[in-house]
Amino acid sequence: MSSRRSRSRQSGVSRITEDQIADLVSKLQQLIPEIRNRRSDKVSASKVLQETCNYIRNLHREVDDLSDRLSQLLETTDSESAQAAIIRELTNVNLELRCLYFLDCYSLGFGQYIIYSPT
Amino acid sequence: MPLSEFLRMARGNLDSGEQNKRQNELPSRAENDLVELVWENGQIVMQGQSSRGTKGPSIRNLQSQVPRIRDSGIGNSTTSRIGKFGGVESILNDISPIVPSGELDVSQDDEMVPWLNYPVDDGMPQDYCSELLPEISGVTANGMSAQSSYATNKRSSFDQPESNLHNGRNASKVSSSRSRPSCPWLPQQDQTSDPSLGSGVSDIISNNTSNIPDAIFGNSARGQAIGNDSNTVKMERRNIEIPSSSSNLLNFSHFSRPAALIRANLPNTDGMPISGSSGVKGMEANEKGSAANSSNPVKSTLIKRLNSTEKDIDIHFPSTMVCNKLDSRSPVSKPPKESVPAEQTEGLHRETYVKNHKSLIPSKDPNASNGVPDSERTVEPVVASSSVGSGNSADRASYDQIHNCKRKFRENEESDCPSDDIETESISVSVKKATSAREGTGSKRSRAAEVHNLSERRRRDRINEKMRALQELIPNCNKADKASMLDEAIEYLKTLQLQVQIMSMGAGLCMPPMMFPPGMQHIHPAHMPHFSPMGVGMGMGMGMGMGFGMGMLDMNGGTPGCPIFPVPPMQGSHFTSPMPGPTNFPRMAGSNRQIFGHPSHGFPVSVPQAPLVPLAGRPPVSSAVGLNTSMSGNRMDVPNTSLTTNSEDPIRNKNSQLMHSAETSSSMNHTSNRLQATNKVLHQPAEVQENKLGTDVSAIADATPTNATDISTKAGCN
Repeated sequence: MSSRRSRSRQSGVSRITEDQIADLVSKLQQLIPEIRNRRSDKVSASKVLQETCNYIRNLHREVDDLSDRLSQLLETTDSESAQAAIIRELTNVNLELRCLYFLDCYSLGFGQYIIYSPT
Repeated sequence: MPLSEFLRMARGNLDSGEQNKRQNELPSRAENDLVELVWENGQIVMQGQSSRGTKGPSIRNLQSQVPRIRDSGIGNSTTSRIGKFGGVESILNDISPIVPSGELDVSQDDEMVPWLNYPVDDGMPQDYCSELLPEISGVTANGMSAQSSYATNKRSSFDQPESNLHNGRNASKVSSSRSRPSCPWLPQQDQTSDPSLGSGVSDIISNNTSNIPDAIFGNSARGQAIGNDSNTVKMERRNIEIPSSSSNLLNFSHFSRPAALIRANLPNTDGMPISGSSGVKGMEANEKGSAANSSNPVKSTLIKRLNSTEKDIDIHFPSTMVCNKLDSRSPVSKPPKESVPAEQTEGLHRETYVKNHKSLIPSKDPNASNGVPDSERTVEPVVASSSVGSGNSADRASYDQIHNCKRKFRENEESDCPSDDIETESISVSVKKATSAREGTGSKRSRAAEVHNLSERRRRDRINEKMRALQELIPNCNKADKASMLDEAIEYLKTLQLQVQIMSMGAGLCMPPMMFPPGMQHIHPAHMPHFSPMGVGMGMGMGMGMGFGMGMLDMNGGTPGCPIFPVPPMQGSHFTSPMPGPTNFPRMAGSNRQIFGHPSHGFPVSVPQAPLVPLAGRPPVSSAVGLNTSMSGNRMDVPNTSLTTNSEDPIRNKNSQLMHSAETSSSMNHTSNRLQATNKVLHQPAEVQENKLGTDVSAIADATPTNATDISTKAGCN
């Protein structure tokens, strides 16, 4: 019995992480249109991960394409034109986004003040 | 007798389905047929009591067994198959009398026919008969005792008539068991426990096996008794002695004999050898059972028998001694026999001691002399062989290898009978089956668990693999545990989506302005597929693209963009005043222009208005719009406005996106962070752009310090 209990306790600990992971996987699933649109409640974790990988790759490709197109546009358009400005801004935004991502990764809770600033 | 003829004969018999015909034909054919007939007669005798229904299934089983045997691939060579089939055939013969003609299926009959042919066609030499007869006679005596023991031991429920029936079945089963090694799961097993089945009850198995051979012998003995009186007498002695000894001993002796009989048959016909091998299998199975049940000496005796049926001079049990002697005598008289058993023994030994037996085999007499020392050795070897067999059962490949080795040995020795290989193979197979069956019952559960574990492990491996792939895809992801990995993946995915949104926005925005008014519809479909995967982001991108051409009106009323986001209220507040498309450009410009100023003016205003920063960010614009429209509405050019609107729109988009994500993730901190950062970023680029454009430098100058101050003040306040 003791062994079983200990095992159950262990499993309980692992269960938590498992639940966590399951939760995260479901969140991930919500971000992936291909799986999200499927609406089938049961999707294996490996499937979700696989789709995530595919999706990320797709996004990378998309970003590359878009950046290519934007750079092309930037080349073709007058540097003084509004479009060029827009593009530049967008690229900036892009950079900013990346920065944000990393900022997100490394600084959490920094924006607390700002959020509840209204009070 | 040519096989073809025999086939015809067999077919004719099968087709007719009449036992009488067969019987009539059999005498005409050959002595082999006689043997069969004897069996049949014995069975028939038994049958009188037996019910047909029970036997019907047995026939079916046999049929089913046959294909299985083929599949089992035990007989690599065609001959081996034939041999097996021959065994089956014997079964058929037994069964056929029992079963009504109607029961047998034609197709089955056809299948059976070829097999039948082989055993028959060999044109049984008289040796065979003579060999069989002594054994059979012995069997008869044994059969009686065996039956009694059988009834008492196994099935108390069965009456003796029933036991007789069982014996009859057993006979059929025995044949089936011979062929059977491949199919341990026969339904018939219930009645006669097949050694191959290895129900796990060693006792039962041994008893059953003993009963089976006994029954067969008994049947055959009755028919054949006429032939050899002396043999029968000896056999009787043996039988008498056997009863005194343990039932297991009896069984073994019986088995050995059938094996010997089969062996005798083997040289003649391929099919027969196979049956002999099967008999050997049964022997082994019995031995195993005896190993469990009976003392070692019994094993040794059995082993000895197996090794040299002729030799067995040194027998622990007098009864066995007698039997062996008798057997040896008969074989001696009949050369063909001798060679066969020797080979068979070789086959057995090959598995374990190929070398020793090689030397022994060539000279039979020396074998006898060797037999004594070997017997003890053989005991272990038998066990070893059994273990080897079990090992083989797990892997066919290994089995094949062994088989090859055996073949090599055989080639070297070059036994007269090709059946040796088959025998050895069949033996090993039978051992396998028996062992596997035994193991199977015990380990069924564990196996299921194992399978589950395997599948689980595979699943985990797959997930880990995907995780690793994901980790490679995510930059700067050095998290070890899965949870944080997934967290990171989610975040990265979101940012990627946002990024793609924005970039696509830019790409859409940067389309030549000419296209926009008329190309709106085109843009939609063009970008729709592109963004479709984006989901939320797509709506925004579309909204932005539309916003450029059509103005913000689309954003407001545009179903694609607005409904998706929680932002609409903000926008509604901002753009409540309907803007009729292109006409609004000037106004838009004004509003956009305000955006630049908005940070300064808007933020303070917004703070009271909206509880959330993103919302606040938006409303301030509106307020700023109101303020700035009066101030600098005219200054902004259309391109500028468009630019500003665009610049502002991304912000908005971002904000909305962020809000969305915030809502979903319910982590406000992140969103606030992002919003702040995005706001800053946007302001800066906007400023830069304006500087470049040189339109409202002063306004920007005003705005920028104010921005900074606002932010700082905000931070300070909070």
